[in-house]
Amino acid sequence: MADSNEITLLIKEAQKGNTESFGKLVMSYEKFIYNTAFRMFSNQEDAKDIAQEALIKAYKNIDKFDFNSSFSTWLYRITVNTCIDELRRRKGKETYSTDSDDEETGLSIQIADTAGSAEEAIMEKETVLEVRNAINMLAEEHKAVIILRDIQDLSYEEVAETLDINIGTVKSRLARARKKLKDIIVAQREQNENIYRQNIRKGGERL
Amino acid sequence: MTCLEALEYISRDIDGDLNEFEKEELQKHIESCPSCKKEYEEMKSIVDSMKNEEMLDLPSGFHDELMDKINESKVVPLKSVNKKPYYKKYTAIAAAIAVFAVVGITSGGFNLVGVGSSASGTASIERDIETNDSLADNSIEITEGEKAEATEEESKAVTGTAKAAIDVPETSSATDAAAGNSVVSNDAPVSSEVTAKNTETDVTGKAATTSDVQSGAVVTGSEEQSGSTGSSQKTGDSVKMPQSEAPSDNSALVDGRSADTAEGNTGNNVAMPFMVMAEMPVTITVSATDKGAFTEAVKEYVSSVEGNIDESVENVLSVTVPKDNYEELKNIIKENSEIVSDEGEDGKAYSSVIIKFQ
Repeated sequence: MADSNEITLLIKEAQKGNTESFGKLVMSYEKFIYNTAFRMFSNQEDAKDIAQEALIKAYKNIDKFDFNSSFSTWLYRITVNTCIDELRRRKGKETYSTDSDDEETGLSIQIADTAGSAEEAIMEKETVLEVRNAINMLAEEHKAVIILRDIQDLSYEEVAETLDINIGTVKSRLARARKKLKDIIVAQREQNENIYRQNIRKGGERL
Repeated sequence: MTCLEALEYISRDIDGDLNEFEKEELQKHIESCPSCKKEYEEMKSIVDSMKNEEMLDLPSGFHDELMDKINESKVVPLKSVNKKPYYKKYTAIAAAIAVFAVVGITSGGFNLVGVGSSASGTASIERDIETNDSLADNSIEITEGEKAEATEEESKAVTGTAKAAIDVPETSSATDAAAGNSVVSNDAPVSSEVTAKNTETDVTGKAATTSDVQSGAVVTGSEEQSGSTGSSQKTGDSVKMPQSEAPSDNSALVDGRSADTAEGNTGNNVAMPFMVMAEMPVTITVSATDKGAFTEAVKEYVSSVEGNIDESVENVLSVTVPKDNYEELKNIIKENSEIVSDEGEDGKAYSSVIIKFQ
């Protein structure tokens, strides 16, 4: 993206209400924001709505950006908070399941790019779905830290700035979130194995 | 090392965050603790698998849709740009949250309220609030859309006849009264007389207003908070412009007796808010052999006309001067540097100038 001077200028222009400057300013962050929202909601339609909502919030509040943090993490913070608010709002109101439809999850697109063989593709897709389901079961704070660090690959510093917590907290929260995620996945696997064994047993009985 | 301590070490090691000493400690623990060893392996494989997640492409039309929404939202962020008392003399009017709306605009179609109507129609509004920092968070929200257009005749009528006398008690406390003074700087075909009058407004608040008052401006007391968190919305002062209704909640308004204007939709007790139209700044790129001397010269001139200058961006001077002084400002620039490029239109005056050093 543009150099920092240019970003500063664009921000100042946007603060005066210049929407065009704002558009230029956020364009290169949109993909990150959309993907963050997608991981938070596991659904492309929600991801788009939330990402746009977050960006509109950013526009409305651009005058409050004070140049003390980096603009990117300021945007990410708005994004994450918008996601968390929405998740909490929905909680209890509806049970939303992860849509396993390829088009919604965006999985088919990814797998096509990365997989070598069909079997590998299926395996990989299973793992991805497994992890994704598990992420969905995490508490919002754990979800956010995992998504920012492990999926979006932000540094500890960036995660800290985005979540407005100190680095020590990032490290401990990340450790707990990963542990939780791992436990969920292990439990899922065990459950699946039990079902599998039961099915085999049943099959045997039938024979 | 306990297993609990080991957990954070494991997580950090996956990120490559451990130093040699810590690594050794973790290694020792893992060798003697099978469950932590297992923990390490499982966690690492899951974290690794997440790194393989690829980014989805944006849905098509994402950006355009966003920009449409933003333009439709008609929300203009406000910023207190000037810290210096360029408009100090208006402080008393500050009691009025409201100042002044330039509404009817000539055939050029650039209108204050019709923000959404075209890309350039997005009125950017600067407010100059010098007295009260807490007001810096204000935003002006324009809730009313296309009604601001006035015919040319109407606009003429405006400049001709519409003058609202707003009596501002001298005693009103400017700082408490929440009102920022606003600067009107019109770029577009907004009648410049109106602009001039606005900026000349003195303490007694004789403000020229326009006629089409359908968008009688109200200041509501809501305040929008720290966007930085994105989640929480404090309420802020926002100036709303409802359509054709006399604002009922503008008690903070000046006890405004607005002279009936051409259209006269205002209702008697509506003071015209003094609002500001910021224009697009013009960018002038210069090459100065002595940057310091150049900056000093510009600064001196700007302060002599009670303008404002912002040097917070490296290699950039962001200058605001009364429009009438634009030519002189340019002469100062010419005398002290070589103009490399000038985005301004010939013969047009600007009040907001970005001077970039090459």
